[in-house]
Amino acid sequence: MSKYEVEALKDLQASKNRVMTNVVKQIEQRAIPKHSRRWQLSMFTIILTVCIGIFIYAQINNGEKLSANAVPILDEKIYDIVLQDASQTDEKFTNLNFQALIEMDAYYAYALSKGIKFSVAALAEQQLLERDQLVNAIKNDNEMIEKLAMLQLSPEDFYDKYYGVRMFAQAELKKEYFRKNESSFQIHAYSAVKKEAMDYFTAEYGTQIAYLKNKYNVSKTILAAKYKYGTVVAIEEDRFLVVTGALPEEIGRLSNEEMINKHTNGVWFPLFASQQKITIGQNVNITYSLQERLDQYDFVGDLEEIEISE
Amino acid sequence: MLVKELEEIMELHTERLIRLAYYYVKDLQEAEDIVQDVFIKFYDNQQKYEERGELKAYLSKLVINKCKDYFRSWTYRKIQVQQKIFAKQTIARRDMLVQQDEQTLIETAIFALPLKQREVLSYFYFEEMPVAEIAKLLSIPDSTVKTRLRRGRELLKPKLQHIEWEVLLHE
Repeated sequence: MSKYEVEALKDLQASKNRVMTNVVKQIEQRAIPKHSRRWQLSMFTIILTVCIGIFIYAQINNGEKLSANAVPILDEKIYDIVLQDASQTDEKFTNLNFQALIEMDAYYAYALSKGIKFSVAALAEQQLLERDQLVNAIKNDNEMIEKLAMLQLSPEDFYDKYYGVRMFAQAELKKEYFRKNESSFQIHAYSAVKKEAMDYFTAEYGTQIAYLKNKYNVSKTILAAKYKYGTVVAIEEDRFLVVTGALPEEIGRLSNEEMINKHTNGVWFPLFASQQKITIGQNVNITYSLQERLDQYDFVGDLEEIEISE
Repeated sequence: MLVKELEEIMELHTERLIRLAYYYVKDLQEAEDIVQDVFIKFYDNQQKYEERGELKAYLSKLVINKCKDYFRSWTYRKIQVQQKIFAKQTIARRDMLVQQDEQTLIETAIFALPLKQREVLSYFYFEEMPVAEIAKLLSIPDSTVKTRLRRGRELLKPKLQHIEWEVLLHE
C-alpha cells in the first residue's frame, strides 16, 4: 500500500486552530443560529428556470442586433410563469427565484440605461461564462433539457440567445467598475455592480417591485450565511480588512500581512456595502455569503449585514 | 458536556475530520466549515450520542453526511456558478499548477474521480484504512468497497500512464 499525503493536508495545525476557535466562540457567543442551513436548492435551476420562463414569453429574435425591447423587464406575465409553477411550492425557492429574476432584470436594465450596446458579435467576442461549461451543465440536468426541448431549444441556443446577454450586461458593468478601482477583487466588483444595478432598478421600478413582492409574498433571504466578528485593521481603496483577535496596539504597527499571519485569519470586505462609516479600530460583526481564498489565512468576502460595536 | 470537554474532543479529532471532509469537498476552507458545523451540531445534540467508545466513527459519519448534504446544497451549486463567473481567477490559479510533480498528478487524478471511487480510494490510500473499516464507515458491504477500489484503479490507469505508482502496478 502506498502511504501518500495530500499536499493541502500536510499541515493542518492552523486549520485545526481556526475550527476550534470558531466553534468555541460560536457556542459562547451564540451569535449564530444553531444550524448553519445550507439550502437544498440549485442556483443553476433558479437561474435557468428564470431564463426559461422569460424565454417562453419573449422568444428573443435571431437578428444581428439584440433589441432593448426584446426582453420585457419586470413583466408580470414572466414572473407568473416562473413563480407560479406548481412544482415550486417551497417558500424559500420562491424567494430565491424572485431574487434571481430581479437581479438579472437589474443588470440588463442598468446596462441599457448606461447605453451599453448589445450585439451578437460583442457577445461572441466576450464569451463570458465559458460557454461549453454552461452548456454541459445544462446537458447534465434532465429537467432543464426537458424544458428546453418543449421550447424546441438546444442548450447552445439557450446560452447564445438569452443567458449570454444577461451575463454580458454584468461583465460590461464590472469592466466599468474595474476602470475606477483597478486593484479591486472580483467578488467586490461583482457585489458593487450588483448593488449599483439593484439601486438603479429599485429607484426606477420601485412600485412594480413592491407590487410583485407583495403579490408573491417574498422576503429577502440570505443564503449560506457566514459570520465574521473582529476588528477593522486596515482600509484600502474599496475595501476594509477585518481580523479576529487583533489587538489595538498592533494596528498600525504590524503590516496587514503580519497581522493576518499572526492571528491566522483575515477577511477583506467591500466598503461600499456598509451604510455606516467604517473606521480603523472598530469592532464589527459581519454577515456574508460569498468568499474566495486569497492566501493561506485570508479571504475576500461580500457583505450582507454589518453591526458596529462601540 | 462542557465546552472544555468539547475542546478536548476537538483537540483529538479535528485534523482527521478536516482531512476526511477534504476528500469529499476538495476545498480546505469548505472542509473547515463542515467540521465546524459538525462540532456545533454535536454539542447542541449531545443527548443523541450515547457514549459507547465509538466517538471517532460517530463524528466521521456526521462529517460524511454533512459533506454529502453539501453536494446537494445551494452553496455547492453557487460555487460552481461562481467559478464560472470568476473564471479568470480560476484560470490564474490553474496556471500556478503547471509545474506539477508526480505526487501532485496522482492527487489531481484521484480528486477528479467520481465520488464513489474517490471516497474509498482516499480512505484506502490516504488514511490507510482496511477494507472492513471503510465498509463499516460507509455502511456498505466489503465487496462493494473492493469493487469501487478496483474500478477506481481502472479509472486512474489511463490518466497516470507514465507514472510508476505501485498502487497501479500491483492489483
